[in-house]
Amino acid sequence: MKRKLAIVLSLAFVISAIAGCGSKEAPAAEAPAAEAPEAEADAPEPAEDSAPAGGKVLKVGVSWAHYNDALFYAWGDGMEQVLKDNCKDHGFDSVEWISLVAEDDASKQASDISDLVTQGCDVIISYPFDNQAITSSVQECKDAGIPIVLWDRNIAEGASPAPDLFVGLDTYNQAYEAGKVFFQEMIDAGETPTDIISIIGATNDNNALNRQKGFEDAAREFNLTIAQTVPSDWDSEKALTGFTAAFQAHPNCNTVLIASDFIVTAVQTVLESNDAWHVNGEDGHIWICSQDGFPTGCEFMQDGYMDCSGMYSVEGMCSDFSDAIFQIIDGSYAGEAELYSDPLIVSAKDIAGMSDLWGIKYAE
Amino acid sequence: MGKKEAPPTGTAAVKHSLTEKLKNENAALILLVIVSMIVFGITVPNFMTVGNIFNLLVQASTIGLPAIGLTFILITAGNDLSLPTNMACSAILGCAVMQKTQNTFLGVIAILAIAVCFGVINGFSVAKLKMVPMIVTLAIQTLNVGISEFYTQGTSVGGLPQSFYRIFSSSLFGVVPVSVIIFLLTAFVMHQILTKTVFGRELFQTGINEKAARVNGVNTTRILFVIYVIGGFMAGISGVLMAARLKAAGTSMGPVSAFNNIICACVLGGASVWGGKGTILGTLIGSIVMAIITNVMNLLNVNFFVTYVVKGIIIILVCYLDVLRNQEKER
Repeated sequence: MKRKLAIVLSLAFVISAIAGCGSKEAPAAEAPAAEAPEAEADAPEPAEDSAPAGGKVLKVGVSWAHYNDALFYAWGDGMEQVLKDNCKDHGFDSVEWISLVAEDDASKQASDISDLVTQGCDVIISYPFDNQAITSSVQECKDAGIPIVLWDRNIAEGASPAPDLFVGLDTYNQAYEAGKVFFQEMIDAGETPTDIISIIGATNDNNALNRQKGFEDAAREFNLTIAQTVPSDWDSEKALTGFTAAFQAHPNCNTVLIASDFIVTAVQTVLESNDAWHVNGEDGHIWICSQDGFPTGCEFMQDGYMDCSGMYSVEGMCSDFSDAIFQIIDGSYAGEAELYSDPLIVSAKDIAGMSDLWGIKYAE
Repeated sequence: MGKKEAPPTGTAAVKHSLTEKLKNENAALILLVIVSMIVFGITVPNFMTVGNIFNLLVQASTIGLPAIGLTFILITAGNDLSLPTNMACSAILGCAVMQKTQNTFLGVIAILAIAVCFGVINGFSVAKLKMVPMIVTLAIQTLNVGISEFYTQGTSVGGLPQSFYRIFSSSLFGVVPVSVIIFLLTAFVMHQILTKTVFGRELFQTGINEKAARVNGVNTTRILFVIYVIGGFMAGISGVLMAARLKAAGTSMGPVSAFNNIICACVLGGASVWGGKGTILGTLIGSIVMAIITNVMNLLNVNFFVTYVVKGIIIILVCYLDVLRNQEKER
């Protein structure tokens, strides 16, 4: 009896917990229209506050592979805000924003997208974990007549069907342009890039591969070669281990290229332990070029430890997205199926007056 | 006064008490699933639709198939941490065969055979070499991840024959997904094996007291070996269905964290990590409950950070349930 009671009580607890955590919005017909709240820049509120109270609602479902760093907050807030800002011009009164996270599990992501289809979303946005497996969800959305947008990671080359829209950054160009600016600044400062070490991201990520190619091509333009490539799998721990070994193997290294500056703290740890963590202008400064513009990267650039970064233009991506998405929903879109925004190439010497960078806005 | 039926004795008694236990333990869970379905059907928009119910069952099948395998293993107080990674690894290698040959039959056989091979390694290590299940299966998990990453270099294996998708990711009469049918059929067969065969009875005897079972003539080494092979086979079936669903096989389809859901489904369904307990019906319902929880949280647009908290609470509660059951068993 005690056992049965425990089963019922524990599950009843879970059920009540779920019910208590759910959205509290009143049904559209019963509640008065309310203005959509201003999006807060510093907190993701995927559920309750973004729920509309009345009128024609644009129901947007988002499936993230993960949601574990500031860039996802910036993307989520940015997309939600541009939709809220522009929805009234396209016949919608408000936006309902449904945000799910797949915990880096391709199967869970497929289930999440099925759940979004079940909820009857007007459009589904996905940041896919597996760029091949996501095609089954793209097909499911197409079968259900729901437009799907892939964000930052497109489907694998040669895979089909393609999404209705891909919005991302030209990651090859990001690394290539940043690399060119970076190497030129080094040479102008009288330094010769020596024993270059490159820390790359995950090998199943097109963006990581594009960045590596961009860095390699930029180096080639200056007749330089990368001495060692360290795989990180987008994991700071792996980057730390790999870079420790690489730096020991190349003690004369004065140049480090990083696929994303959210792993720059791993580089900091290794350089500090080797007494090589110095600001630009001091003896023994190791020149660092990174990507993305995370808060840590921006801070290191402001302090002079990092020298250059090819940053995401979050505003640019969200603007491209907003321009296209309403036309896709009403079926009038005739533009490009893949929209690549330009990266922002920022040098340490220029960052002081740039308060609009997403990494600085989200530093708190 | 009617004639009182004499209680069954011997093997019949074991069988009778087993059946009664199954009925009692699963009744509360079935009732809870029905009540929660009604409550959610009324309160959660889009929950009680045909599409969502089958979507929910598909989600339950991805948890349920390896959970069925794990139930056999838990009954002996064993464990198999390699189930999700075995599923991914065998799917990757089998799909590579399928991609190269464009032969669906060969690919499916390869997936199942590779998964069974890992089960054989686990079973041999635990049953014959008397190695600790958690350590062995953790090692196989690492081996699976290594092989998968090495072979795929982080990408997924796609480009599989259309016939593979047509067979395994289609729906019967356009409504019932084949994966759900395979899941339910597998559950039925495994339930029969567990409850209606000598093997099933010997498995419980081994789980309750291995030494006593051995004294009674049960070949416990064989039992322990076979259950890990069954676990591998279940991982293989799951790998086939998931590769068909995702139209590709990659390391991302079997994350190590998936084991949480699998063991939760088993324990929620009445299996105990201390052994001697477990039913396929219970595991089936446990899988459905786990799928309902995720599905409802998604449909209710619960903040995803809260979903982590809810899942954490569920795992703690399930562990506590298992402690309560074990205390009762000891009394």
